[in-house]
Amino acid sequence: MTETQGHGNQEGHAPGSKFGMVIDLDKCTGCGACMVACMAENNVPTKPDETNKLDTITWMRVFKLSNGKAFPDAETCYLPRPCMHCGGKHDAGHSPCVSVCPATATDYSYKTGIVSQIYTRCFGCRYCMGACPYHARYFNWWDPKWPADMKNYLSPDVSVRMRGVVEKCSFCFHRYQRAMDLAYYEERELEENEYQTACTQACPAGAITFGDLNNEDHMVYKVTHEESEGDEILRGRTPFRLLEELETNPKVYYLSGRDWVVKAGNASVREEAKAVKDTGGHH
Amino acid sequence: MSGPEKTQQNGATHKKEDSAGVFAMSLFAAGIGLYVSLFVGWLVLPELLYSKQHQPIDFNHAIHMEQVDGCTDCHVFRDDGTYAGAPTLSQCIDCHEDVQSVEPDPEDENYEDLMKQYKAEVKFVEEYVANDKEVPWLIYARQPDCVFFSHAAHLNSEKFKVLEDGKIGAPPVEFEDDEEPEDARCNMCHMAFIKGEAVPFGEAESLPVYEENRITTYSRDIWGRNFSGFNKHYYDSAKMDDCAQCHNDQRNEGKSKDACFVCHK
Amino acid sequence: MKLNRRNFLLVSTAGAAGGAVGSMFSPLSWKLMDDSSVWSQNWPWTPVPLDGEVSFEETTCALCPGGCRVKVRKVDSRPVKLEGVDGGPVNDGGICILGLTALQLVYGPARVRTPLKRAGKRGEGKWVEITWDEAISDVSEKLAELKGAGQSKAVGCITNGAKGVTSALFARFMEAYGSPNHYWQATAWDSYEENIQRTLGLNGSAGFDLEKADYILSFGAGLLDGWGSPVRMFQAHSKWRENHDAHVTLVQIDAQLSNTAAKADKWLPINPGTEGAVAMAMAHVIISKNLYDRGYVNWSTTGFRDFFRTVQTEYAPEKVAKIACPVQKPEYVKKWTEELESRAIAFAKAEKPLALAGKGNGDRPVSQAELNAIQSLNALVGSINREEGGMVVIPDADKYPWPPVVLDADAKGYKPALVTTKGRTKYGASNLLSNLPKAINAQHGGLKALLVAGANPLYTLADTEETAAALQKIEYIVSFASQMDDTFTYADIILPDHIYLESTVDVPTPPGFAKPVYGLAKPVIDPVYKTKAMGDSIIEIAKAMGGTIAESFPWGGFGDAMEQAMNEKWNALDSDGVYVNEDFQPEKEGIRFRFFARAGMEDRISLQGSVEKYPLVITPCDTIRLSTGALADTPFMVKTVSDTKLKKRELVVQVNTMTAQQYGFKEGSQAILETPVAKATVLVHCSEEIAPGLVGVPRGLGHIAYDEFVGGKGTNYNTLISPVQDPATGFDVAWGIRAKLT
Repeated sequence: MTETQGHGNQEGHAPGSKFGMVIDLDKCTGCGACMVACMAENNVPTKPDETNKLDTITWMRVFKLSNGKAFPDAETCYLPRPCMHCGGKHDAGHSPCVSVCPATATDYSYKTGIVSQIYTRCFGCRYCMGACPYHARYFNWWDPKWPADMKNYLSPDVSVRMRGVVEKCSFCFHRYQRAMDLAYYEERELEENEYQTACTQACPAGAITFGDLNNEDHMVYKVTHEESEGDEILRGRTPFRLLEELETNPKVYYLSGRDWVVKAGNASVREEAKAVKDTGGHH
Repeated sequence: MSGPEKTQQNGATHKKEDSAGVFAMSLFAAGIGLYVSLFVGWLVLPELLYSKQHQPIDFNHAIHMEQVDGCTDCHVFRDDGTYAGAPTLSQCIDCHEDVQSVEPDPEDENYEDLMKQYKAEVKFVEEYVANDKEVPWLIYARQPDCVFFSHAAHLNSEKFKVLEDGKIGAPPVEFEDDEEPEDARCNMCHMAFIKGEAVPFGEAESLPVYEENRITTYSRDIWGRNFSGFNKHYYDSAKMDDCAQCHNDQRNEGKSKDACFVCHK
Repeated sequence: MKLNRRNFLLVSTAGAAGGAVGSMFSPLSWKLMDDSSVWSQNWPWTPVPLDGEVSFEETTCALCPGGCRVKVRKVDSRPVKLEGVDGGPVNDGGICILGLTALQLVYGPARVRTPLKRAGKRGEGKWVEITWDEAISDVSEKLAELKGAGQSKAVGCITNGAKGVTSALFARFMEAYGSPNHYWQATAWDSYEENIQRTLGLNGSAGFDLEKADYILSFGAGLLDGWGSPVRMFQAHSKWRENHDAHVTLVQIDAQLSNTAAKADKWLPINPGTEGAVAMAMAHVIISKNLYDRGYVNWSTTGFRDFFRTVQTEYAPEKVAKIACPVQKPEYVKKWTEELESRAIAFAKAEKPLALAGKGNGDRPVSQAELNAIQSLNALVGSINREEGGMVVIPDADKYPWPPVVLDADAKGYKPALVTTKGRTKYGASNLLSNLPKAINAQHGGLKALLVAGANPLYTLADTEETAAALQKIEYIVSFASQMDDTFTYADIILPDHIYLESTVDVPTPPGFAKPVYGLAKPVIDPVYKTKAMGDSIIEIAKAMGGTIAESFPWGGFGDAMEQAMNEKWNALDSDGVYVNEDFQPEKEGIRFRFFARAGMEDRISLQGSVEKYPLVITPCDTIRLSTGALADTPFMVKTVSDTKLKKRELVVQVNTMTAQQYGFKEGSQAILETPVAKATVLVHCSEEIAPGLVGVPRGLGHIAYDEFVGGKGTNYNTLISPVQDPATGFDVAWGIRAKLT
């Protein structure tokens, strides 16, 4: 545990929640509903030209993967990419972005496992964007605009961002805030279905499952723990995470029955990484 | 380059008493400078920085508290657990469809006070109820858009406890039978500042003047009455640091600090 | 003390120093620093959405025929988001990319906010705002004038399909007015209706029990690209993937690796336009191997013997492979043929096999020859009207129980429609809108006035130039558009429609759904602008015209007409917003499927253009992120469109890497795409997802109107092609066009 540093508790997440996602790539059809549900939920603006995909803000972005083979052996697969809400090594909160932020505009919550982004705190240095291996962070190069009366559909639950700040997927944290508000009001615990992200809710294919990776009653726990009854969903597939060898410890898991997709997610190193992790844990 | 040389030449010709006079003058000037600076900083700036606005209706909380059962009777929680803030017209209409009070008798010893109340109600009914118009209340405790605050969490959470005199750092008050007095939690943060006195809103007979920061557009109650920013009570101010007093570690069983997303959206 | 320069400087420096020390002990600098940093975090032009009480109101989405139950999340009275309703009979909690963005249609810059009258020349974009009274009387006076001059048949009307109360009111208006020229644009579902009449002798629409089928052969139907009710299709697909007891197989027979093909268990690539032939080859295999359902074929079909002979002599897989296999290398052809055979065998052996047609998202008609062939496969395996997992016929709904139309002498007289029908079609010439522009351009004085209700013919019809010329010939065009769509630019007067969230709209059984379901949208927000439901507009126009036309519209408003039309369904619709006929049983007694012997290859629809001049073939690419119908994409949808389909303002076409090399193009090269009817500048995307020799053109781009978010992006596929008539029905069944890239 020598690598574990910082203000977090040494056991990482054990006592709190650790919200995460499992995305079934075999179900995902690339329809884009998650992207648009996210934009509508989180007051993301749109520009007249959004074809330069480097400056278009999509907290949730659906990538298209290809097996690289020539016609007619080509295969493609869609891969939705929200923020991975990396826990860093041992879930100690050393997410790549959090580690580099000079303004504490982004931090790691040990109670939810969610990486925040506070727009009013951010001064736009974009170190975090450079640090994020998933390209999950976006910069507001322009002031957001809602021409005509489009301002009228903005949600009060999410602050509107200004030019010059970085933004990213928050796992719809405002929905957690709302759900907790009710749970506090009714003086009870939060239920699994009460806090679901907008993309999870919208996905017409039901490809996204969201919940607490630390709660054994939650589906995401079952899917990501080998001994659990997740088998029905897994059907022989092993969940993988993107760029696992970087030890960013992302909270978004993917399922695919196709080997080339698993390899494209760079999880070919999964077995090695796991071995390292195991020995690392017993130091 | 000629400047300093010249000064040197001139300096050599000056007399001793003259230099003492200069010193005295300088001291005096420094004193004036200090005085003006302090005067501007402590007394002029607050006057310039804050605009003073009166509420559209001078609402009397004290009278209403006699009729209802606690703050949350009017400042309601919605079914989804969210806090509704200032009551809406539809709530007020429940009682104030028409003017309720009777025009006071000039002979009455409290005539002036009663007349003030009466006039406020008449104004409310005529201007707002009759026109089905919401009252544009000025909200003393309004937080900026980037802030999320859960009233339910603070009203019901075990972690948030009433402290003696509302002082920061004091141990929780032990109430008999574990029962906090009604509205004690509300008054921890919400006090009316009337003529320099902090009065629980429920006991206030009129509404304080609303002061708005001309630069930030925030209510003065966020920074606090004390211009220096040093505050003694929870209710003195509602800046991020005030929330962080507890949220950083104090009330969290010393485990870990809260993340930014707890209070931001 | 002398007040010289030195002393002055000394004293004032001392004063400043005192001031500086004082400022350290006053809050001035700290406070101002804090305030200015707060100020810099809250620019006044960054909007702060108003908070309030959150509520949800349910309705039925009417943006497409999909019939999804949706709920709008409101903050006080302000709608902020749309979500799916759990337990909705069609969508069970799901929602699609278009449905999610309905509020951009409500508030967006392309919305028509008030009735308008053209001020400048056509296409100049100059409008004057008029009142509703002026708009209604303007239209009714013009129509009365034409009728008075004996020109009633010179008034045309285009609706968005035939189904639903609004379309029925327009049809009724045309009948009472005395014009036979009411049209709509046929889709794959119209083709199915025609085919059901031809092969089963029934009047009804096609329904597919996809949730229960276990082996699905899709002949180019973009099941996951917007076909049928899109959300239901995504959910059906997920169900197939979840099925633990029996694996459900989807075989996609498609010219390109569409999203559907990519999700299929097997993609069998074919040359576009050979779907019918491939189906016949599969029939050949099934019959040769004796795998067909003898019971069904013997007892419930006719014409099998002729069919059998044709299939055996003409459609051997090896023979079909010559035209259908996209790579003519011997080893690949052999592999391809084997694949075709093994899939045909597996299909026949499956418990609940089902074959489907429908080009891409299904808004383009399919030729009867192709449908005959594909439906033959269903007949061979007994899938027609099978208990579970089969194809069912949803009978046409009864006519609305409205009082009969009152006709004057003019309206009673027979007048031939402008469009003539070649074949026999269920709706006469009505769904042959694709032939209308030619008919207008060919005749002198074809149409003098045109009502465009919920349609956008200038965009959706093949050969935009021809359509534009036809519209230009019409003196008076009335548009009921809610958005400034393409056809809007040619209109003379606009009577803007509500968005369904502000209105009452019925949504009949969604295409392809296996049970009769009826949905109702009810107003969940107050109308935001000065708009009016189309149904109310036409009723008011009718009333303003007086006489028998007014008598034909006895209702107080659209709501009354709706309630009467829904009849016994009304109570359920009014309270639940949806009516499901759970007891539905398809008609089976005495229903026989008729095999058509002359099917497939010899009726293959050929394209315009010579192979020498135009060596390539354009084939459309459909994706659910691009809306291809009367309603365009919303700004958010455009944002999700891949940069391999649209780059800045240019259309990107998909070309196989080998073909691109052959013509000297690299990834991102600019090229001129030329067809016999049009030319466009495009960018080339080298792709392995499309066969050599094809040019994949995304549909749904190239709108000429709307706002900066949606309009002026890329080229409209329909501009590049021209209609090709199905000899059987007259529908436009062009599946592409010949082209060259230079």
